Amino acid sequence: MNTVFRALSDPTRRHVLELLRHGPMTAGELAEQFDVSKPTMSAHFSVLREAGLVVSERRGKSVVYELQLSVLEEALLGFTKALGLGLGGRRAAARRPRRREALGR
Amino acid sequence: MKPRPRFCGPAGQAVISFLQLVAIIVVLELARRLGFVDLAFTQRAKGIAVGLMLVVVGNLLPKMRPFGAWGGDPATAAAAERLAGWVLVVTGLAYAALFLLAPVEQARSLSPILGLGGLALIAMDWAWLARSPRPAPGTEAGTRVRPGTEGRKVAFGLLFSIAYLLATTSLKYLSEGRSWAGLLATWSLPVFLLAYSVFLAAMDFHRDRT
Repeated sequence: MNTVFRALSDPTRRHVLELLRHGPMTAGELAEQFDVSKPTMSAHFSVLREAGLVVSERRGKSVVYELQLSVLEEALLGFTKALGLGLGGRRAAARRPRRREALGR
Repeated sequence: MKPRPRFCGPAGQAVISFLQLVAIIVVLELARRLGFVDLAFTQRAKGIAVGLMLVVVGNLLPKMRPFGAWGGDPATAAAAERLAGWVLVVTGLAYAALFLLAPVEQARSLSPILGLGGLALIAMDWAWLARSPRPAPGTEAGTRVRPGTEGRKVAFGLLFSIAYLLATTSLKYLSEGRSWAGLLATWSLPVFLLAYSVFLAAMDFHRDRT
């Protein structure tokens, strides 16, 4: 359970989980949404995988991620979101323009 | 490091928890027959254990991806699985609360409606998913087949087991414990197993066809 709390404590990782609610995405598609380096994103994916919140599958050259939340984990995610835990990190993430927005897409 | 087979994951956890709760129910029944606890306490404790069973299975249900074989939009299937999980967890909590707080007779009369109603909602959720439109194979959503779904059969096995448990409990309650009800409950087990096999075969056939 510690790994789950650790994974949910970070706003970037919570944002990744929110994005995956719309369906499976490749690592590249997910990374596009954040203005952080690839190794940092890989570390985030690794934490989420270790906590069992996402599953990944290699397809050709890309890795596809899919959400794998239990009901309790989903409730925890909603709870942390509602309480705005890790708000400092979220504000920092909001200051960083998303690559898509920066490109005017 | 060698990856663990998926059965050791959510499906394995759900099966172990389910069996632990079955063991608790068996021990309670044994304790009652040996005269250690009275009937009302046993009925209450068994009801709470069944409620917890629904909560445990419902909690892990979305992780086992029971609707994974459905060849449509993965996001729709995942949403349906999450809904099924929530329905089972809420049903289980209400079931356990009923046996914890209400008079035993009232709890025994209302619990079958609650439990079987929850399972009926899940069946409707699945039926809705099966009938919803699928994305065309060439489209972006159509190419996104969900990764492996090894826990699917375990998830449906657990749901069928819960349905069997609730159905036989209701039958025994409605017949006021007459002997024919016990006999019918025993012989309905092969029928449930057969229904489960036919259900899985139908799902595989449906998947292969699409």
